[in-house]
Amino acid sequence: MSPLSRCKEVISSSPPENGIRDRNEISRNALDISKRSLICHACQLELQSQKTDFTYLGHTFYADMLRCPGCGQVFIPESLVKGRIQEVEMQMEDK
Amino acid sequence: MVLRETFSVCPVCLKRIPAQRVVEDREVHLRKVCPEHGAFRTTLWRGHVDMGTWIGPEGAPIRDPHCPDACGLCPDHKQKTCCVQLEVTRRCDLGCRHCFAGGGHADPKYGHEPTLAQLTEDLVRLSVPGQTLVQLTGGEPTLREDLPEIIAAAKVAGCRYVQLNTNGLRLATDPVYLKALVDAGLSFVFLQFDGTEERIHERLRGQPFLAQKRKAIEACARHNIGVTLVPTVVPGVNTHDLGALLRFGIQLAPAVRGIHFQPVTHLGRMPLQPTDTDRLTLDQLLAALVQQSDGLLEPKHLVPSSCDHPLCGFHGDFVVTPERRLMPLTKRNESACCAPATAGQNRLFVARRWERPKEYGPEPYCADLRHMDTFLGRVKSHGFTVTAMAFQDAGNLDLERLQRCSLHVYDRGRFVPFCAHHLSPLHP
Repeated sequence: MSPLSRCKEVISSSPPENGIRDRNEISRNALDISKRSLICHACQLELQSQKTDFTYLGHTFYADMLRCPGCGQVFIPESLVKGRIQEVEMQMEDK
Repeated sequence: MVLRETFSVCPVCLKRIPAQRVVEDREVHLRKVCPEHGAFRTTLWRGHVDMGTWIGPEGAPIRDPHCPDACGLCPDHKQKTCCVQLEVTRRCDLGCRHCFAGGGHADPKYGHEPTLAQLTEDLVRLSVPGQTLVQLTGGEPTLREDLPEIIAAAKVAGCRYVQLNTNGLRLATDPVYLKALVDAGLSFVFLQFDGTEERIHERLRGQPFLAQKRKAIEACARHNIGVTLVPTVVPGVNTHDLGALLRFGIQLAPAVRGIHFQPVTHLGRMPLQPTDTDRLTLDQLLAALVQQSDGLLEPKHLVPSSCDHPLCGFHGDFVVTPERRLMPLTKRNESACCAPATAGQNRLFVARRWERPKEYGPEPYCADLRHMDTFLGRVKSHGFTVTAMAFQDAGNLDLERLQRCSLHVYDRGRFVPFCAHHLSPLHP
């Protein structure tokens, strides 16, 4: 099971006082990782931002990533994989 | 002991003849016999690195090659074009001791010079839109007043990168001309730069040019045009200065994007017929460079060419740290030889370092290169290549190497491997 599927998302913004939530706002927040918290499915603990090491071709880099304080699983958003991580790999690789 | 059967040419008559790479007292020599002009022996390797390990597994030796007769890219040629050279003039404002192009005479009346219309036609024919890296060379290209128009024509023809091969003297003194080159689409510059001491420039180029070379680098930096230093390395002239050259380049990063060492080759004009002591082998260059680098480089960070034949060059990819050290990205894997790189892969590899980024993104918020974002910013702004290319002449020409050449000269509709294009006899 991938780390992604083991996480259960929770919308972090509180509902408006009148109790009516803007559906568009919910859907926007759901797509924006920075605006929601993630719960580890196995441990039911909220993921926390922590310095995380990545090793590739003998070099180690770090970035702040969401990690489960219980089992240590890290959530890596697809946007990061296809963005900065891929860019680091490309820069590290020889011809 | 014979390492390899191959083919070469007679250094006198240039006829194709069989040749052998032979190990003798740790050194590797190319031995060949011309029925008319006798036996020849040229040193290829001096044993600083194990040649077999450096080359890796080799396929079957070449058989019955046609090259270099009427050389253009034929079905036997094993590599596509990485960089194509287009000679825009034979004129030059210097009369260098060594010149593979045999250039000279600044006078426009000297020799044939293609018109802008002819060059435009050539550029359309040689260009693969969106891919081509064209190097404008000479003679000295900046003697042409219409060089901006030639660069613009290259861009219109679809060339992705336009590189200028220059002695830099005009770039140092003519800001209006340089701006015109930049506005026309110049991508990056290969700057003739032989040493950090004036006496080196005096011996190889005839005058103390160090100050002008610095000005050329500064001028290019003002336009965000990357400069790669290109020293011709001549035994007894600047072989002691390799480490200083490296440190000079590192100090001037990011304006300087790398150093491309070229051991002297005996093509075109040369002061004397070469003896073995006049040759600097690739392994000799590598060992001297590492030894003089004061720990900046280790041998494992310089790897054999995977685009051309491994005996034709090496490369290393680095990031210049804020402390002006080198963070190595390349690492030699001696247990398994890497697959040969395609010409396209090699083109992207060198261009991504030699071209300065137009946008640098946000300033990194820490100086630690292990931080992913800091590394990404720094590798783009301060990426640095240490490369070498060992050209071949009539003495050491190995047709197996020639068949893997990716540096081609465009000549009247043909793409000709560099060393075949400039091949000239060495008279004993």
